[in-house]
Amino acid sequence: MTSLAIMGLHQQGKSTDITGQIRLDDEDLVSATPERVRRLRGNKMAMIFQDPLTSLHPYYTVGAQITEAYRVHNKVSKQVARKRAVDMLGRVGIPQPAVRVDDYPHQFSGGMRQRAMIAMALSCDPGLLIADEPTTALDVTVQAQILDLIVDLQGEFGSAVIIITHDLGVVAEVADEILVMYAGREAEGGGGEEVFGHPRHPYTWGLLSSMPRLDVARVDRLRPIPGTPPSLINVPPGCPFHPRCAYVAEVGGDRCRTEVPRLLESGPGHKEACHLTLAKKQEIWERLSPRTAVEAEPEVQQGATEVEAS
Amino acid sequence: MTDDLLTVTGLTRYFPVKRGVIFQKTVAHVRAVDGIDFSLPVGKTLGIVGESGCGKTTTGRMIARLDEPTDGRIVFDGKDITHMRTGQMRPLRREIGMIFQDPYSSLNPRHTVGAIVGAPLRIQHVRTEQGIKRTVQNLLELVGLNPEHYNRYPHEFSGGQRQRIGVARTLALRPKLIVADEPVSALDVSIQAQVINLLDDLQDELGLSYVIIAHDLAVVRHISDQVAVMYLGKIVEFADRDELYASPRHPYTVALLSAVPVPEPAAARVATAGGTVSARVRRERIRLTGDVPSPLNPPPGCRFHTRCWKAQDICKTTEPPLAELAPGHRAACHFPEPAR
Repeated sequence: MTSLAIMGLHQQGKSTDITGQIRLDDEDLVSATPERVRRLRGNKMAMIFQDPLTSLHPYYTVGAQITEAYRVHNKVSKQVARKRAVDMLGRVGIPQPAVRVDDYPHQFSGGMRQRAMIAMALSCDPGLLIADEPTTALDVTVQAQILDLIVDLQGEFGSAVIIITHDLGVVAEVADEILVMYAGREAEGGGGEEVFGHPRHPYTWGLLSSMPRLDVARVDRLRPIPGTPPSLINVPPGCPFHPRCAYVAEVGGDRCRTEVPRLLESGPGHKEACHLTLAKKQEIWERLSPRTAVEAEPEVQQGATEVEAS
Repeated sequence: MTDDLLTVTGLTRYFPVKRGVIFQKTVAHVRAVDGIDFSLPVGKTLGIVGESGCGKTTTGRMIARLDEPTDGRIVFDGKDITHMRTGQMRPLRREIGMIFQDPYSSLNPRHTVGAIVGAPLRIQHVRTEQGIKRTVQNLLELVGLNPEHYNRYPHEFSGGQRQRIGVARTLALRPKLIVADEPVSALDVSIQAQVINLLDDLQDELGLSYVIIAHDLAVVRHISDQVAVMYLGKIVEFADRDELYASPRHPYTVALLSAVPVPEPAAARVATAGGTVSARVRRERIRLTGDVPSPLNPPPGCRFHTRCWKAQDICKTTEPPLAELAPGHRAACHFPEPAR
């Protein structure tokens, strides 16, 4: 019953499966037969997609789509399944669920469609819910509603949730565990407070200091991560982040360019893949953190971090 | 008045909803923009924020005269451009540029970068000293692209680079005003910051004025001098950036700001504040229920009353005027929040 957030930029391997092992309830999914996976899919694990308009079928009513998913996994009559659909729609906060169950997706607003998707995903009581950018297509007030809903339902249904997103605010809001990905690899992972409070990977630093934030005083200039994300056909050798990293010199030598950093545990439940020493990482973040910069002497400190970044 | 580059009064745009095939008749109007006023001083940036469907994009398109206003007046640089004909408008096109949201669909995939960025110069028959090619290459350099990319096609570039191409094209004619419609929302976080900084630098260098339309409140705070918050075709609050974010007066603005997720977990927030739970650390989130009502049939009275937690009877019947609550700070609400 925890939530894990996977964050990273486009095409960073956030939403693709590869080889290796994926264990769900002690069962390996990679080597399982397609039939077996099909039984599990929707039943034990369910997914919410980014764009609720394209992931709902326009020719079928919302109710028909929820009952279909439910009846595939449960031997129940149409009436029972329909009751379940109405019940689920009510629980995700759709007003008049008994009426709206016969509506088509186009009659729903964006937020309601995403609610319907969640109702569909949760109809079979899955142990694992995967939400791929569940709020990216929504307005901020509706996004807040949907995030609250996901957290509430998680408590109610006891599902584990994986949220895949690029929005750091969303991650902080819902996730217990965070996994930062870069170029198809784990860059940093750990508890929410650890990763946001004491980030230890230059990429995480870059993400945290490149976005404008409402919770700290306005800075005059943002500090973007230079360059662009690498092509995954041609991942840079060594540390995949080294072409955009400002701290290659701090490591010294050619290590960043030649040696792939291993994912090492640097604190309780906190791991990252970076060649910098722990002391260096702590020292650098001390300097970069927008919060320390603001909370001490606003004017002077901001100027100081500005110089450091350039 | 004299130093305002752009003044908009009572700007309105109704889109007719038609029925019938041959004898079409108008059955209703979508009130996309319903009487808004603002002005923009030279060299400043106005940010327009709001949820989807609030009319912010339509406003931007009308300012750039890509859309015909139903009513109201747009005065640009002392000239009334509200209903100028295409021919009259053409010389003014040099002075108002537009940056579009989607860097993938706003560049012609069959044209080279050189052709795209040079197109405004050719269309306007501008003769530059060094010739079009040199000018385009200088522009590419100005926005941080390699001038040798002159002969490449848009598909060879990433999203952030394409947005830079769009910016270079807009800058080609040295406009005084740039209307940017969601210039960074299609880009990754790290690339977003690059484009925002670029817009910032260009403003300092070339003295541009911007109207920036965005839904991201943090981005708007970063780039704007003044901010207008729109809801269902109306401006509900208008103020200087610092004033608006420090002390929002309209309940909708308060709700919008509190809905933005903060990139720091609640527990860590308390920890970094040294154990003392300050007002900023423990923020109360205001949950707005429901969706934005349809602009086809906006609620009577205050348009926000259906979702407002402070709504009373007067809000359902009487529309609140956009009143000046403090110097330069206007809000349209019967029961504005107290100044902080």
